[in-house]
Order: sequence, then C-alpha cells, then structure tokens
Amino acid sequence: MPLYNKLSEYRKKLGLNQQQMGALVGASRQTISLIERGDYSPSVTLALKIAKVCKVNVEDIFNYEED
Amino acid sequence: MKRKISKFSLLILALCLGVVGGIVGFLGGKYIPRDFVLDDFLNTYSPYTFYIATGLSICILIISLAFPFRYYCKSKSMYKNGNKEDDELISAVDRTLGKSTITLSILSILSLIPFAIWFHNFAVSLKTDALFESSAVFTLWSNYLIIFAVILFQFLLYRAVVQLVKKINPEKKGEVLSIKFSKDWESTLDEAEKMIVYKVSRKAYVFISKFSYVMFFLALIGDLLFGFGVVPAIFTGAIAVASVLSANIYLYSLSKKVRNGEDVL
Repeated sequence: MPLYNKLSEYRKKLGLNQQQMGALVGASRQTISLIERGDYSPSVTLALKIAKVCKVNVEDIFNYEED
Repeated sequence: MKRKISKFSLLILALCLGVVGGIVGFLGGKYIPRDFVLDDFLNTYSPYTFYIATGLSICILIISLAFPFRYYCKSKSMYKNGNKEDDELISAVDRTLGKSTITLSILSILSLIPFAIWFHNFAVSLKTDALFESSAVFTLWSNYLIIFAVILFQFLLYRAVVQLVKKINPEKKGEVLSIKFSKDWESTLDEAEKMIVYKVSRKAYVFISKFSYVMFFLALIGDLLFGFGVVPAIFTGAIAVASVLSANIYLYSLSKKVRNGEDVL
C-alpha cells in the first residue's frame, strides 16, 4: 500500500537540497531521498515535522492510496 | 502433494542428510586411513607455507586495489569535482562509497585467512628446531610484515572511506580509532537508517544461526574423516550458542525496559 508524496516538489519550492531539508527536520539526506522515492514511509513525527517546515498540512504532502 | 512436501520439507531434508551422513561416516571410517596426508600437511613445518600465505595476501591486496580502493577514489573525485548541492551527484557518490564499503568488509575478513595460515605454520615451527636457522627467521618475519602491511592498508582505506562519508553527511559522528566508534555512529542514525540496520541485522542473524549449525556438523565429520579434533566442533558450537544466547538476553532486557516505560526505539 504505497504512500505517495510531493516532498520533492515542496522541497524545491523552498529552494532546499536534501541535505538541508534533512537538517531542518532532524533526518539524514538518505532518509529524505528514500521518502521522495517512495521507498520509505516516515513516522508520524517525521511527517509532521516535514509538513511544519513546508508550512502545509500533512495531507498536502503525503497521500495514501490503496492498490 | 506439493503442499504436503513443503510442509514436511525440513523433516525430509534432515532424514536425507542423516542417511547421507551415515553412509559417508561408514565409508570414511572403513576406508580412509588414519595417517591421511592432511595430518602431514597440518602438522609439519614448511617454509613454503609462509609463501603461500603471503601469496594469498598479495592477491587480496590486488583485489582491494581493483575494487574498494578504486570505488573510493572514484567517489572522492566525483565529490571533489562536482556540485555539492546536486542531490543526484551526492546519491551517486553515496552508492559508490557503499560498494567500496561492502567489498572492503569482505576482503578484510578474507585477509585473516593468510594470517591464520602464517600463524599455524609459526605454531608448528615452534615444535621443531626450524626457527633456529637464520633463513627460517627471515622467512617467518618478512612474510609476516607483508601480511601485516596488507591488513594495515585495508584498515587505512576503511578509515578514509569513513572520513569521506562524514564529509558528505556532516551529522555523522565517530572516529574509527576510538573504542566508542560503533556507539557514536549509531547515535547519529535516524529512523530510516535504524530500520535498514534492523532488517540487515535480522537477516545476518538468521543466516549465521543456520550456518553455524551446518559448520558444527561439518566439523564433526571433519574429525571423523580427517582427525580435526574436537576443538573445531566446540568453537562452531560456541558461535551457535553465543548468537542465540545474546539475542535472547537482549530481547529480555528490551522487554524489561518496555515494562518499565522506557523508550527503547
């Protein structure tokens, strides 16, 4: 059951690279890369931190769709 | 029919292995003489054994230069000459460094084999007068220095790889020469990295548990056919016991912490 996300889009709007985004939310560059590729679903805490940095709601970034 | 076979597959495998093992044991005990040539090889000093060990070590050095060292140089060059803000480039550098780490880890373990062969020959030579000859002393220590130099090269390369990883990922901490390196490094892992470590460790634990039981039985067969002695079986059995015991002790302490309301994850 994939978790679709628009993290890459919002991150580029803010003019941040993955390293900088990771530093802001307390995650590593690899984790941000894994989330953007859809290879990792973040915890609730991390998802909320990402939404806060992007100044949007969690649902605007992460979207859950059943297969 | 296929479902029934898969349900009892472990039992069928054990029965087949038991039959094969019984036949091998019977034939081995009946036909293989006790003074088998392997005893001579294991318990006779030979200066050529030192050169075999050194030759193996040099082969490992050549492979280390061809793979992990080459990957490291490629990563360093990509990072130095590229745009450090480019996420694709950093991901590519990370992947190449990962290849370097994996190949170096395997070759570092393999480097211990020539050292073990050198050490065994050294131990056997102590039981003879071979070491009183000056040529034997020269052979012994010159080969040791070459084997040691290869192991040292791999350690320095590993340190260089870690330094480059820390440069690319500034949040990573830990000095390779420090006893607390693993602890310091693990403290910088975030949730996704911890998940990866968990999955890899779990697979490795399951594999080692099964493999150590297989090695235990092979050690028993080796004693029966080739006179290995009981020590290999004891050591492989100890590895099997240690891996299962450590996992269960840690599981117990983790459960205790959860009951006390501590944050364990």
